[in-house]
Amino acid sequence: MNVQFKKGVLELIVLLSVTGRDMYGYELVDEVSKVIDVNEGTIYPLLKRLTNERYFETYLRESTEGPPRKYYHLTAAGVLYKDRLKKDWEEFSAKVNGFIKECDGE
Amino acid sequence: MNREEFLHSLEDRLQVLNKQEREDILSEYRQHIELRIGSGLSEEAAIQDFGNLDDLAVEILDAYNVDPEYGRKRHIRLFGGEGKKNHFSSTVKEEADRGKRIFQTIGKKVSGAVKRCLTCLKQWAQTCCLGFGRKKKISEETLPADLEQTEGKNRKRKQGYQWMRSIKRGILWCIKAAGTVFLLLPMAVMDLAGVVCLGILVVLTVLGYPVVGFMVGMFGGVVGCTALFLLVQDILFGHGEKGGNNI
Repeated sequence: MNVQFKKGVLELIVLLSVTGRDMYGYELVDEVSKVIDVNEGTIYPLLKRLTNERYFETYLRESTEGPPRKYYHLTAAGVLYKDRLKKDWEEFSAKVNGFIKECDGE
Repeated sequence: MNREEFLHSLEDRLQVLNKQEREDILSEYRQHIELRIGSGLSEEAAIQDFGNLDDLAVEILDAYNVDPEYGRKRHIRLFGGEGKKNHFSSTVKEEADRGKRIFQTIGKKVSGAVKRCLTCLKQWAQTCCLGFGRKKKISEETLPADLEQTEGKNRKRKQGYQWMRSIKRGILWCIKAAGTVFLLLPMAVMDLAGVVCLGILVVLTVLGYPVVGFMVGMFGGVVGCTALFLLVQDILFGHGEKGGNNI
């Protein structure tokens, strides 16, 4: 898949993954990797940026194996941001799909 | 490249970040590698999944809104030119000292001027009071000299004073009423609205909205409005009470 496409949609997929329940980094990387094949290293900086922009808040929770894990939780601002991105994506993909059909029809 | 080597060279490239942030992001990568190994992958393969180390560092610095080029230059300066760094810090210190000196002299001049103004005002007020007091004393001294004449004059003067005083009281009452209706009440309403807005902003901030700036601004507004309210109230009613005591 086109690298630029992946880059553009990665943020939306990360936000959508955390909507249902809080996740720790590795879990989130796994979840995102199911949808798109992406370099795992690039997800952590994205998480960091979204946290700095207050769309995520983090907390530590003990785990049965190994050190405590940092969980990511979507804030109210994050939910708003996610909804906006989702709407943008839906409008954008609908337009592109419509245009593809139009071109195929001709 | 093993895990420690990978983490060490990544840390080298992130020197521009402060220690806490560096530890924070590195611990994520350390945990990721551990969990990958736990799921049956070799250490090599887990690290290779991260791709090129330089690209990764650029990506991380980008997330912190740091220009990756700046990070690289600093990296070179920190590890390649110790003398330059010392020179840089000494010039910064000199500039800071000069700034401090300038501010100190300005502060001294301003405080001197203020002090001079205050002493002038004090002297002026003292001379006024003294003059007033002397007049009063003279009139008291002349009183026993020709008692009958002055008693009649005094009675007339007293009546005149009472009449003037009632007018003065009426005007003061009007000013107070107007001040209360046109200044104090609107200010109180504004203050209350400000407090309500501040409460809403505090809740929004706690929820995670990026409105800290608005909150601080609103706090300043509320404090300023309250201070103004108290000042106006003091001018209108504090003065009145003093006058009342005098009467």
